[in-house]
Amino acid sequence: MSKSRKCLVVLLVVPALVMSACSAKTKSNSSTTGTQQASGGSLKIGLGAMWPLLDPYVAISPPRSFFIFSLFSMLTQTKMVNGEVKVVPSVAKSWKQTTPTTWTFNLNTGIKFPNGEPLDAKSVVASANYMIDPANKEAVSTAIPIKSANAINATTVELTTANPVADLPNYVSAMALLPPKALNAEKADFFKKPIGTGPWKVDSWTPGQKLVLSPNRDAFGPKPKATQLTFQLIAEDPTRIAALRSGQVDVINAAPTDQLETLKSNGFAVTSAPSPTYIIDIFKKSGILANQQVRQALNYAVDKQSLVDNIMGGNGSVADGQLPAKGSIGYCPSVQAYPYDPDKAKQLLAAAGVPQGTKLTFQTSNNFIVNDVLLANAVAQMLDKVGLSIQVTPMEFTSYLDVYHGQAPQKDLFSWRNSESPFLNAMEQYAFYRSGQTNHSIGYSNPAFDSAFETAESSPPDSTQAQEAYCTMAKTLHDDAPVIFGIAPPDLWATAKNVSGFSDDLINVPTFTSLAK
Amino acid sequence: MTASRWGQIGKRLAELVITLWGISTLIFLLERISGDPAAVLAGPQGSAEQVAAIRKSLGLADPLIVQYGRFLKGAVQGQFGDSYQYQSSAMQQVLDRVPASLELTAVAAVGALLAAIPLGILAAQLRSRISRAAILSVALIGQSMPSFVLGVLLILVFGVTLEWLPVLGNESAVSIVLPAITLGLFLMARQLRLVRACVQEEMNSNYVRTARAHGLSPSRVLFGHVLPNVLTQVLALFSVDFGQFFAGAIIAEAVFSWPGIGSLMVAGVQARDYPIVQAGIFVIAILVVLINFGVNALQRFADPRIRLTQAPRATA
Repeated sequence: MSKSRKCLVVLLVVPALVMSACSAKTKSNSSTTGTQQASGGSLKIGLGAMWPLLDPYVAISPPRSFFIFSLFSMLTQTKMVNGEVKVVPSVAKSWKQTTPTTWTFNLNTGIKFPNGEPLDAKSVVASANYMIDPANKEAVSTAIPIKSANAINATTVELTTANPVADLPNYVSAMALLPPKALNAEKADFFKKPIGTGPWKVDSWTPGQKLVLSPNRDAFGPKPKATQLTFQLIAEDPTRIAALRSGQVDVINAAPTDQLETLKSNGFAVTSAPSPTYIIDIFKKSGILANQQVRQALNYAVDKQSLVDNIMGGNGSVADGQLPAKGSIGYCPSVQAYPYDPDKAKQLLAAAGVPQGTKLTFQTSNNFIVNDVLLANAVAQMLDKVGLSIQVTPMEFTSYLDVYHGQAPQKDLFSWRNSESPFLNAMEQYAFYRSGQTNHSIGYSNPAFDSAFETAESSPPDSTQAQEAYCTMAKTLHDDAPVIFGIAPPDLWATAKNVSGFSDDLINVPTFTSLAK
Repeated sequence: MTASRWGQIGKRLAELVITLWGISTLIFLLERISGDPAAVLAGPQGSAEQVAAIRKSLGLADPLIVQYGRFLKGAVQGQFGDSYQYQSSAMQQVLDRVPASLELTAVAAVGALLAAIPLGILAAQLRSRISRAAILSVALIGQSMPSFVLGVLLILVFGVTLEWLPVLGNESAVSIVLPAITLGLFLMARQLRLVRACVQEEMNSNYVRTARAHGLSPSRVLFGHVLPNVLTQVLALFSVDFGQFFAGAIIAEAVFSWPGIGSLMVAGVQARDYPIVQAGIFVIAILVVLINFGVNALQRFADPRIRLTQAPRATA
């Protein structure tokens, strides 16, 4: 009766009072923390994916590169200058290709690790040796093709490659430099709390969950503005957005495209940078996809601008009919995207004798590339319109990787994108199209392409020879169309109103040192 | 304790061992069907040779029976090898996460029961039909709403719009509230309806009418006589629901980034990190069996009938 009703009221009102009291408490806590920090503040970054290990030689693309460039220094730095990729000095002040297979680097002096060890030629040799040692199974050794390293003196180091590599300085910009004594003493345990000469040092690390950094006193290079930087895993999209909106984090990555307008209207800043080109493998050695006309038809049939406008909400851009993104090393300005021409596509298919309604299977990743399944479905619809019948098969990431590595059969269409970051070097991507190569091989082979590749490989990236070779490769692939050239998807970040100094570019690794709040 | 009590415990232990062996073997086989961890570890940047080298170093190129033998030998010592992702002891990774999971499930379970019992009584006893309907509607929503939807809704309402509560796990004492509600609401709803049904049934029974006839007040009857009988039913339902509870914890942990076993397992499955998944299943199985054991002990304590009917006959 009235007693029971009183019970009900008490049951409902008391928790509400408690919660508002608690929220007042948490709010006042956060404001006092704010005023206690010195300039720069303590910044929290919510990431959609995180790395399980602080080993910089396992992989070098985002998000792992976030901690690699935060904790360690490298011989050189790859950065975007006026929309173009440039390789600039870092720990090495100058370098020279002394023989086709040898590069000599001259190092800056006076750099020390936090444990007192000097960063000199010996550190470079120790780091390179650890990376290429087969016992350590470091995947990055494939991407940075060093065969051996040799310290000539304290400030000069020689790196040798198996074949001529004209752009080794570009590749070593991702090779973290580690303290040799600590590395040799602790081996794999070194990576539990690694030390380096990067702008940040590790305060605490919960593997796969949370990394807390503070400014590194022994940093080589620009010092951070913020007093603390926390990377936090927030795998679910709604939770990541909510954490940003409620102020629990200050920056998030992988902002979903359908939330951007809401974020902007609530005062959050959205940054959209280009990211490596989304492409669809279509080349086959036999069947209708062995026919160049058919492959070109598929390229004409896809309305790439519509993908940008409708799937990506206007973010990203159409790729210029080639693999490297604009501004990368190896980009050819004279190659253009296939125009959207469904009639021409139908013509070419008819001329090639492809029957109406031919069935093709399209394997796509699921939640690996932004909006990948949506992109695949849209492309499938466009191809259906020109008389094909595409079945889209979204694949969970590990199954997708199985196909990528050739452990499971690759069907007619297979979408992916190159991991360009941080090199932004077309040679890395063009290597997939050399005759006889075994890494994710689609069986493509063209001698004209191969000879251009060899020329490019052995000519300095800035030379005319190299530029001509890059364009030959781009044109050859454009005309042969072993892939459908797609779009450059956007790398989307959102930051809170009071965060300054955030910027992102094609490298997709924001400069965390300039962040402040 | 009596000999037969020891016998019962021994039987339980044997059941536990067989359960663990069965589950572990099943997981062992399922994992190996699901695909190759080496491809995942090499990632898109690795070459085909590296994938093969990694596979060999993980012992996955060996015949299945050899791998199984190695696995069993480790399992009986509680060793599952090093996590492929974290490259440190898988069992340690799992054990590090157990406190957070236990905290969440404990708070959710206790909270659910503490809410369900009074609400269930009210739903049975309140005169006002509207109030009763309101409580039952809450129960219906709690039982029918998928926990992922509930979690996101709570985040949007209490985290973003009202900004009353944090949305990320484990930052402060208060951050357990939303995940606990997400996890516990289903349990609370079921218990609420059970309590209501039990109270209604008991209040109509003979012994209650007798007690009232003897002049005992309604509240004395309710709390002194009816409630203990209801509690045994509540515990019985709880022990049945507990397994599902653990499953629900995975979703709550994912939505709120709560650093428990559930989120570790999901990440492990996604990365094909066999040692983590095997160690995690092992630990979860042990926990579920132990907790069921504890709940059964509570039931025996709460209900004299169980104690007495299971007691051995006097010798003679």
